[in-house]
Amino acid sequence: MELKCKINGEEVTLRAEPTARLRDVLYRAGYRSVRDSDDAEGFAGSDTIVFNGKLKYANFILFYQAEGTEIRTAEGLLNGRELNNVQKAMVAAGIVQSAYNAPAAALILTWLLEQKPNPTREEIKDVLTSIFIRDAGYEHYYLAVKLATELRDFGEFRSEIAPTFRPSLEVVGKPCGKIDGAALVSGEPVFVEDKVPENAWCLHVLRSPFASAYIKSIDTSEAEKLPGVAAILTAYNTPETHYMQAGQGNPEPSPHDRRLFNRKVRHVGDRVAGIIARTPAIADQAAALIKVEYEPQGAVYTVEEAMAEGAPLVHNGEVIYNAGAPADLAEYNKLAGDEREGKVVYQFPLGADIHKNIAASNKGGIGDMEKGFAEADAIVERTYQTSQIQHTPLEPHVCYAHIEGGRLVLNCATQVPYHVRRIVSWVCGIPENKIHVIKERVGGGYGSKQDILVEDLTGYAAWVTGKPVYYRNTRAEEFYANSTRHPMRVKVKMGGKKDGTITALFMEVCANTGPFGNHCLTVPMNSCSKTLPLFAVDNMAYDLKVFYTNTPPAGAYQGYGTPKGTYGIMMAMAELADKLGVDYRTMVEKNHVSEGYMLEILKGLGEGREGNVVPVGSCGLDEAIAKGCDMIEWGKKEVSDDPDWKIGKGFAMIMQGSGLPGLDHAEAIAKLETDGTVILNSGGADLGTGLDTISAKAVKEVLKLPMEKITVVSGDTDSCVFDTGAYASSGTFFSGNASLLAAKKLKEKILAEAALQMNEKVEDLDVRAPGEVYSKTSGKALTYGELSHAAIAGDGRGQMVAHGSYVTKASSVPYGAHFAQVAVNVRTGEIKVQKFYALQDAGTPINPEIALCQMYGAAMKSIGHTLYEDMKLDENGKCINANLTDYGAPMIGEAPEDFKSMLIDVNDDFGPFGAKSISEIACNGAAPAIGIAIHDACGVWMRSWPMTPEKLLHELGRI
Amino acid sequence: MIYHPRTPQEAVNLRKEHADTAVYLAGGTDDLRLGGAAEGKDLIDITGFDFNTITEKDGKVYIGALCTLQDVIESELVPAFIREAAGFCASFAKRSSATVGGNLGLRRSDSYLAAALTAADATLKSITPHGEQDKPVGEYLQSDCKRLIEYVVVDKDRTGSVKRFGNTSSSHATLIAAESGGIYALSVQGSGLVYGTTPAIAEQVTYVDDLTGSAAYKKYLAGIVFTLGR
Repeated sequence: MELKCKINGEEVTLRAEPTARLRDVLYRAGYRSVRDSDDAEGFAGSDTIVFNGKLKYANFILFYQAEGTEIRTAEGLLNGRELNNVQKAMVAAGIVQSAYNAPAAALILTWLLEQKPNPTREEIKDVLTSIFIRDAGYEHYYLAVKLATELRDFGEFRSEIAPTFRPSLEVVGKPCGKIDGAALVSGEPVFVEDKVPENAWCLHVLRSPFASAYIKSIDTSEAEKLPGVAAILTAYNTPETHYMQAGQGNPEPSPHDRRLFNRKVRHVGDRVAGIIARTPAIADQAAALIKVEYEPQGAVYTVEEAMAEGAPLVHNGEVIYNAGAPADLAEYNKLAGDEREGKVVYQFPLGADIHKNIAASNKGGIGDMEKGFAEADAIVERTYQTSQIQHTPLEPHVCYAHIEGGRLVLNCATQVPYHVRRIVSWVCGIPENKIHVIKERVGGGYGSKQDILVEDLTGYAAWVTGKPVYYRNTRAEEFYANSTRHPMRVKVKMGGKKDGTITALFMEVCANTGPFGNHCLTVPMNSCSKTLPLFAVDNMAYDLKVFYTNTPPAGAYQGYGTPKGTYGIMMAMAELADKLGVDYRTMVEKNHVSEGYMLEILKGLGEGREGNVVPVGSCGLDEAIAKGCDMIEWGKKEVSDDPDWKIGKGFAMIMQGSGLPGLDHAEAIAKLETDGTVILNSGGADLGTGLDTISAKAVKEVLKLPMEKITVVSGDTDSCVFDTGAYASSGTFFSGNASLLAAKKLKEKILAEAALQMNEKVEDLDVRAPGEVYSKTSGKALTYGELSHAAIAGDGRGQMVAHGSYVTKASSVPYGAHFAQVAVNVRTGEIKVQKFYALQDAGTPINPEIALCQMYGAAMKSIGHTLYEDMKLDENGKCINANLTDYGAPMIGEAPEDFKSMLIDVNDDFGPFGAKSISEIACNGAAPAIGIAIHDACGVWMRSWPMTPEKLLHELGRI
Repeated sequence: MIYHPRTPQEAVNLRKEHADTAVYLAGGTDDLRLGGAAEGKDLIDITGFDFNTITEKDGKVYIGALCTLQDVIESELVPAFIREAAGFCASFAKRSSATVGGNLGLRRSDSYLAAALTAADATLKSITPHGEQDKPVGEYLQSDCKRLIEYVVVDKDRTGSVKRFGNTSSSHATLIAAESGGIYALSVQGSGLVYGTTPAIAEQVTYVDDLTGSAAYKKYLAGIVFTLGR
C-alpha cells in the first residue's frame, strides 16, 4: 500500500505492506537512526520515534497506522549539519560511545526538553526507562540534559563535565568530545547494516535442536530446488579446515576444534547448514525443506558433569599439536572415537586432555603453601560460582561480504579486523591480500566482537557463491549461538594471622568453556593473573582447569576471567577477616602490593608461555581505597527506619592490565597531506571507546595542529597497518602508543625536511600551533602546508610519512577500588544498591569524560551480572530466556541511587602521556563489593551469581 | 487481513465471527511483540474508537480502555495506587502505547493492572455480542469471555496499596499484590489472579516454577506480602 505522512516536518509518501513494521519501513526509507536491537521485543528502545507527539517504539506500529500521522526521527534534530543542543551535550558528556541507539536517546531527551524545559532528575529518569544503555551507564545522561539546558539558556556549557589532568597538555586529559561523536549521535549511516545494498542475499543458519548429536545424514536437495536459493552449505560441502573463532594473536592459545560446519553438533544452536537465499522468507522455506537425521549423544552442561568419571565426551577426535606434541600422542589418539568427531589442533600444549573434557589447564605458584597454611591462625576454604552471562551489545553480530575486483570485501563490526582477515583467509583458503576487512563503527562489543563468530561463514558464503551476502544474528541467536562469559567455579583457600596478615592463598578455578575452546586458557588464567598480583603474599598457588561442555559457547567478555576471580578472592578475604575478627579494610591495606613490589607470581601466568616477572609500577590503590572509604563512610553503621531493611557496606580492590606485553602489537602511519593536514591510519579498532580520539589527540599534542586538521582512519586492513586489535584493555596503551610514535616520527621528518627547506639546523627548529615549523634562532617560520607542497612539487623529496610500531614488555596495570552500600530486605529478599562508588587509577585519562562513562557502563554491567543476569538452560541444554526481558538486562531502574565514578590521578611511565587502561577493570569490583555489603547488612555470604532475592531468602532460612 | 470496524459492536461481532483467526489491535505492545498474539492472525483495529479518555462522574472515574498506561499515570483523577500499578510497566515509550484494555484483555498473569483494579473493586463497561454489559474486573479476569472493554470504572476516592516483585524493573513480574478497602488481590506469574477479603487468598494459588522464580519463592512472597509496611 501507499500512504502519506509527515516525517520531520516533510510530507512523505511511503510504500510497503500494510502490516510491515513501521520501524522497518522507516529504516528502508532512509531514516537510519530508527534501529532495532531486540527484534521487536519492546526493550532496548533503538526504534524510538515521536509518533503524533508521543514517544513510541516504531516496532509496535504497523505501516498502515502511519497514514496521515506526524513522525519525528533523530534525523530531524539536525539544523542542516549542525547538531541540536541535546546532541552537542551528549557528545560533550561522553555518553556517545558505541552509540547504536544514541540518536534515539537524543530524540527522547529533545522531546523531554520540549515538554519540560527544566526537567527534574526523576523526570529524566522516567523517559530514559525507554532505552537500554549498555556501554556508558546512565549517570552522564543527567549531565547531558543539564548541559543542553545551559547551552540553550547561556549559549555555553557551564557545568564541569569531567576533571582535567596534565595542565601542560592541550587536549590530553581534557574533555573534548569524541571526534566521531557528531556522526554517531546524528544517526549517520556508519554501521554495517547501513552499508548493505538492496540486492544483498541473506544468509540464514539452520541450527541444531540437540546439545550433542552426530549428523547421520543431511538432505538439502529439495531446499536447493527452491527458486531464490543460491547455495546451501553443510559439513559435507565446506572445507575440512579446523580453526577457532577467538580473535587472538597467532599462534593462538586456543585449540582449533571446529570447522565451518561440523558433523557433530555440540550445543543447541550449533550450525547445521547455511542457506544463502534471495530473501529471509525463501531462506526460512528452504530451512524447512532440509532433512537432517541426528544421532543424539549424551551431553554435559556443568564442570561437575564434565569431570565426572565416564562423562560423555564433547570432543573425542584426533588430537594434533603443531608444536610441543607429547611423546605418547599416538597412543593417546588410539582412543579417538567416531570420525565425525573431527579434530582438535593445539598450536602448542595447553595442558589439555579431551578424554577428560579438559580443554586447557595450568597450575603454579610461589613460596611454600604448606608452611603458609601452617602459620595461619585461621583458614577459610570457600567455593564461589558464577553464571553464564551474555554481552547483549545493542547491535547484534552482523557482517556484509561481497566480491569486488576478485577480492573478498567484508564490512564488519569487529574488535579485531586483522584477526578476521586471517581467519577468513584460513577458512576460504585464500591469501590475505585477497581479503579486505573494513571495520565499521561497532554498536557494542564488550569482548563478544573479539570473536569471529559470523564473519567466517558470511565471508565464505560470499566467496563461494559470488553473491553479496548479509548476515545478522537475531537477538535470540545472540544468546544461544554466540559467545558468553565463561561460568566458573572458584575455590579459594586462604589462611591468615590474627593481625590480618595473609600467610597463604590458593585458588582453584574450574571454568566452563562450552563446546569450543575459544579463549579457553586465557579467560580462566585472568581469574588468577589479574587477582593474585594484588596480594603481597609470599605463598600463593593456583590450579585451573577448563572443561568442554554442551552449553552455548563461551568466549571473551570484558574483564575476561578477572571479575570472577576477584569475586572469589575478595569474598574469601572478607570471610577470613570475619573469622579472624579483623576489620576488612585493615586486612586489605595490610596485604596489597604497592609500587616496586616484585610480582614473582606472574612467572607462571603468561598466556600459554612464561610470564614476565615485573615490579608493580604506578599504583593508585592506596588512594582509591582511602578516598572510597571516606566517601562511603567505612565503619559507620547505617540503620534504616524500617526494621525489615538492613544496610551494609562492602568494597573490593581491583586490577587489570593494559594489553598483553610481549604479545600485543600495534602500528600506525601518519601522513602529512599536501595542504599541511594530517591523516593518521591506525590499525587499532575503535569500538566506541574513543580510541580514534586518543590517536587524534596524540597527533595534536605532538604536531600542534588544530583537531579539525587531523583525520583518523582506523581498522581498515587495506589502508591501515597491523594491530592485534582492541581487547585485553590494549587500545589506549598499545594502539595509542603506536599513534603517538607515528606522530613523533612524523614530527622528526617534518623538522628534517624543514631544515633543508629553511636552510636551518634541525636542532634549532620546533613546531608550534597552528601547524608550522619555526626557527628558535632566526625566527623564520614555515607552515606545514608550505612545507608539504614543496616536498611534493616535482623536485621535492616526497610526502612525509611516518610509521609507528609499538611493542613492549612493560606492564602498565590500572588499579582501583569499588564500593557498594546495599539495603537488604530480610523479609522479601529484595536487594537495593543504594550507593556505588568506582574509584580507579587510569594513569592519565586521555578522554576523562569518556573514561568516566566507561566506568559507569562497566560497573553497571557488573552490577547486572551480580544481581540479575543469568542465562538459563533447560534439561536439554536449550537457553530458555533468550531475550533481554527474561534474561534480566539491567535498565536505569536498576542503577544505584547514588552512583559516582572517580579518577585517581597517577602518571604511568609507559602509557601514552602516562595513560593506562580504563574500561575492563571496571567490571571487576561490583560482585565482591555487593557480596560483602550484603553480608554486612544481614550476615549472609552470597556465594553464587546472580545474588537473587530468592537465593537470599533461602540463605536466611525463610524458604 | 486488517479489519477496520466502524463501531465497537461491529468489532465484537467480527471477533466472534473470526474467533480463531483474529485479534484486537490497540497499543500493540503485546500483540505485536516478538511472538505476540498477532503473529499470523487477522487484526481488528480498534484504535479509532473514542473510549480513550479519563473522566469523572458522580464520584466514579471512567478510564477508557484505549487510554495508555501513561495516560493513567498522568491523570490526577485515578487513585494513586492504580497509577502506581500502571508504572509497573517500566518503559516510558512502552507505557505510551500500551493500553488499559490490552493489559486486562490479554489476561497475562503478570498484568500490571489486574491486581490493583481488582482490589479497587473496579468494574468493566464492555460490549458483548449481546450488547453493553458491566462486570467486576476480577470476575472478568477469571473468565475467558471475549468482550470488548470500553471503560474501567473505579471509585475516585479509593485508596489502597500495591507491591510488585520481579527480577528487574523491566522483567516479567514474579508477583503483584494489591489491597484496597479490605479486598486483597494477587497476580502470580504462571498462576493468574486470585482475590478475596482476606490475605489467605495466597493459599488458593497453585504455584509453579518458572523463569521468575520457584513455586516456593512465590508462595512465600504471597504469604507475607500483605503483612509488609507500605
